[in-house]
Amino acid sequence: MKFLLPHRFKKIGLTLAPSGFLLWLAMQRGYITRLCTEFFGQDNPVPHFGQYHHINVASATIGFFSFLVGLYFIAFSKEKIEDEMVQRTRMDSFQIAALLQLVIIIIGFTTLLYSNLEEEITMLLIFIVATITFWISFVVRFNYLLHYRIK
Amino acid sequence: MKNYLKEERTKRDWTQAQLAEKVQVSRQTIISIESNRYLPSVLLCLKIAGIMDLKIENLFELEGHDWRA
Repeated sequence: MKFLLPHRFKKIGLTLAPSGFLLWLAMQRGYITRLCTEFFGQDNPVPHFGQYHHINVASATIGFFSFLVGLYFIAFSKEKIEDEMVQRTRMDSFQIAALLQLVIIIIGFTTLLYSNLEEEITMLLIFIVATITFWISFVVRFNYLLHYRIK
Repeated sequence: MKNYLKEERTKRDWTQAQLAEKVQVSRQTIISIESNRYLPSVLLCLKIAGIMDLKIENLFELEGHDWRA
């Protein structure tokens, strides 16, 4: 595959993905707001950044996209030795991941049709879960088959 | 497809890593071929046979169920 990144991007991805996830989790659990309150006091704007709400939105966005970019780096980096079996395993893992994503989307939309959930938020959630499922299942399966099953 | 890769490799006293280096693949690929978890391409079969100075049919053999695929 011509569009694969050099092997060093895997290490960058392995740092970026967990830190992005931790940042997103910190925002969701309210640690960012708590940290801002600790430093600047209740409801005071943070200099150069504005209200805590803006910082939370920025943290969530940076965290989520760092997580996705990190996963992309892990998934699309070359192995140390890139041979035909690695390429075959990558293609197989892509197929399984795509299938899983399709299943998530079908289940999600069927649930949405037959329930009273709020459409916009649920659809957004379905797409987020489907995207993350695709990347995580691909990365986990590919690396498991290549590095853990074969010893 | 049955293969005699392990037998032929050990006859030559080569490690999996040495064979992998000779045919420019990863050690995992050699392990997978030996344990019949991965079916190599014709190109790789020819490379391995060439390195071992064998005919491809002396290294790889079709089994009955291969004809039903």
